[in-house]
Amino acid sequence: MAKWQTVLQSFGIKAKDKVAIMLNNCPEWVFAEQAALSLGAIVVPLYTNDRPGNIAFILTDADISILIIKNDKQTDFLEQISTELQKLSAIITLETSHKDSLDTASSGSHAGEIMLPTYYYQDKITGKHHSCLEYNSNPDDLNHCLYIGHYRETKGCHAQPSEYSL
Amino acid sequence: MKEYNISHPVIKPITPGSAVSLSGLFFNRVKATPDKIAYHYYDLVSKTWKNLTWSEAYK
Repeated sequence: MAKWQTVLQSFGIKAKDKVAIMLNNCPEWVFAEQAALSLGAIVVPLYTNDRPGNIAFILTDADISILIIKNDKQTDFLEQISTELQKLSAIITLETSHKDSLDTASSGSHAGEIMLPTYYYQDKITGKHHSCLEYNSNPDDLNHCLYIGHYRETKGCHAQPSEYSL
Repeated sequence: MKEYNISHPVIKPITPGSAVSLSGLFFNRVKATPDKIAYHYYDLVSKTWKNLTWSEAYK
């Protein structure tokens, strides 16, 4: 968890910023969540199999700063909504199979046709000391924003997801 | 019938007042039971189930 605090702090995450997590169940999901909460940030969970249109809507509507994903295979999927991704401070991946392209992106160049601000999380923690900070939070502070999709059976189309705050 | 281990130490409950927030609850739990298992998960690389203690989760 302390390592994830270091990662988020390296991108300037502070209280009230929103961090989206698009991962399957894994320990890193919890570490990233706890790290964000301990900095006073707000966690926005995303379904890994959601439609790109829904992800784009949530990223914009919630004003997400950081998006955490598993690997750059998801980046390929997310390139369909590259306009919305450009508004993020960074996309952080847990693993990479195309390290070269991520290094290129992190140095400010573009990977392929679309520039994605993508960083491999291990690159942000190597050689650094990790100590945990705890934001002096209030019990009434916002912790999570959940977006729930609705399906309109009568019209046979998806509506935009609705936000619920916890 | 389930057999209880009466020598097992009783963990003092973490109250909402002491935790205050979800991250406070996490920090309190790390302090209270650092060597207890926090997560039991399947590692896709080694294809085995692994444990993680609260102190390991903190790092």
